[in-house]
Amino acid sequence: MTQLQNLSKDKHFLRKTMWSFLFGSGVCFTMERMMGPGMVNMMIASAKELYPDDPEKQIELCQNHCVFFNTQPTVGIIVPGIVLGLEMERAKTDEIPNELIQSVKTALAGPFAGIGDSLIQGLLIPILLSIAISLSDGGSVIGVLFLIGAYFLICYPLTWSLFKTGVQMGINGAEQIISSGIKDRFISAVEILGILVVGAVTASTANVTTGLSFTFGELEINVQALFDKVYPGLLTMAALGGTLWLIRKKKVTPLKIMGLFLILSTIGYFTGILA
Amino acid sequence: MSIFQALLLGFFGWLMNSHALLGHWGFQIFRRPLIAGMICGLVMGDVTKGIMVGAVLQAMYIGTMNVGGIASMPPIDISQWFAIPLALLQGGDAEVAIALAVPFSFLAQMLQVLLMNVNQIILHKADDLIAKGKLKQAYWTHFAVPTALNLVINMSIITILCLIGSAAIDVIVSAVPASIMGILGVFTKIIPLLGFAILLNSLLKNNSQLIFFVLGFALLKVVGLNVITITIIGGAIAYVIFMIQGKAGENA
Repeated sequence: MTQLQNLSKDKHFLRKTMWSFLFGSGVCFTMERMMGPGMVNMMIASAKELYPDDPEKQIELCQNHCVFFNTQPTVGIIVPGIVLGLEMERAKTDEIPNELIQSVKTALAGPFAGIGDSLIQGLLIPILLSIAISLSDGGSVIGVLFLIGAYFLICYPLTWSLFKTGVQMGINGAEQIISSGIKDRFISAVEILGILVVGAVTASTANVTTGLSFTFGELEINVQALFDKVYPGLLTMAALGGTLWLIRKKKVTPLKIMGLFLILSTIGYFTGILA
Repeated sequence: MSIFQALLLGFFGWLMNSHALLGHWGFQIFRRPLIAGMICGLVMGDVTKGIMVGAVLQAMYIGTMNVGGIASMPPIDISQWFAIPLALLQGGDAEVAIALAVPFSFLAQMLQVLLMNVNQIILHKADDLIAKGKLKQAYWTHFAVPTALNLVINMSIITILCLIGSAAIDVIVSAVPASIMGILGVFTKIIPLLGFAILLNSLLKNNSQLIFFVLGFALLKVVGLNVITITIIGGAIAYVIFMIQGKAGENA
């Protein structure tokens, strides 16, 4: 078990897992899971170290993370770090339920995406780009060199230290929760936080609208506007409720639901029901 | 333009957009028009003009953000790689580059939608591999298959368009049937529901917790708060629940 304690300080392991996430997060991007595959790849990269003699536990570890995940890669890297730390503690003591890790992951991914997008995409990169553009005046190469150099010098230490901090936070946080006996209360509280944040992220990402409108003589009724007056996002919520019911009660596989969505999209597009 | 140059441009156009250079982290910077301008200039033999054109394009796209996979302006990530070289061939006028890059960016957006949906198939294939215990294969499936797909598609598009020139672009844009893209557009809008439903399913202990989902949804959609604020409020609610549970435990 000291092996796991040493792991958190093992630079090679940390680098391997961090880059597994960064190489996997954007490349197989889908609207269903967004950066999820990056998380899975990070778990695959760490599975042998976390569960060295238990291939079934390794599979379970990876499958647990085949879910939606989205954050900003430069700054949000702290979230995979925390998840890795939590998974390391879970491998050590088996006292941390998967629901807790998923809840923490979900609850933190959203805010860090917001912070990361505003800080990096919204602030740092435009500043670097402006300086680079003015340095490129007359076609000078210095602008490009500055851009690449500055990004590396500023963001690499940031990303690397945030990841390491995340791993430590995950481990220390988990140990605190387990040792002080507040584990169950903490877990159920964090789960609620996670569910709440999923509600918010769903509202901001998914948007099911209908393009239907009817004309009764002089009166034109726009169905979507009507729905929005009653409750904004009503259709999105109803659609999510339906999908959730299919998964929970009817145990329909994701692939079948995708096929269903495709059929609904086709019908919806041609009839205007789904715009 | 020689075939060799077009191939080089296609290759670099793919490379800078491929996540192969330092992953998603490197992608943030390598896809930028300024860098594309320099490399196009290198290949075409006029680095100075290339950077100047790249700088103008960059200024246009300085504020674009990519939030949740959706870019704020149609992306010129691919189209800049033939727009800048073709503009350089015609004298290095930035307006020419813009005129070539921007119209195609709408097609590029449709292409992105298409590729994202192909990624779905790859994703579920990788899921199967994981279930069978073939972790290393799943790892490389996640990374290598979309990258290879992008190589074929991006490199072909860039190389061919570099060679044929701007006339081809209008032909291509009008040839894509609107209905296919329309259906895929709707599909892309509703497929996040699947992801969120799966995630919610794994988080829910009992159905009564759904009230918190509705609350989070309402706070964003109806009240209009942003995700960070909602997380803070959620943290406060979680803390209250935590305290209540503690009191209940003490009294029991």
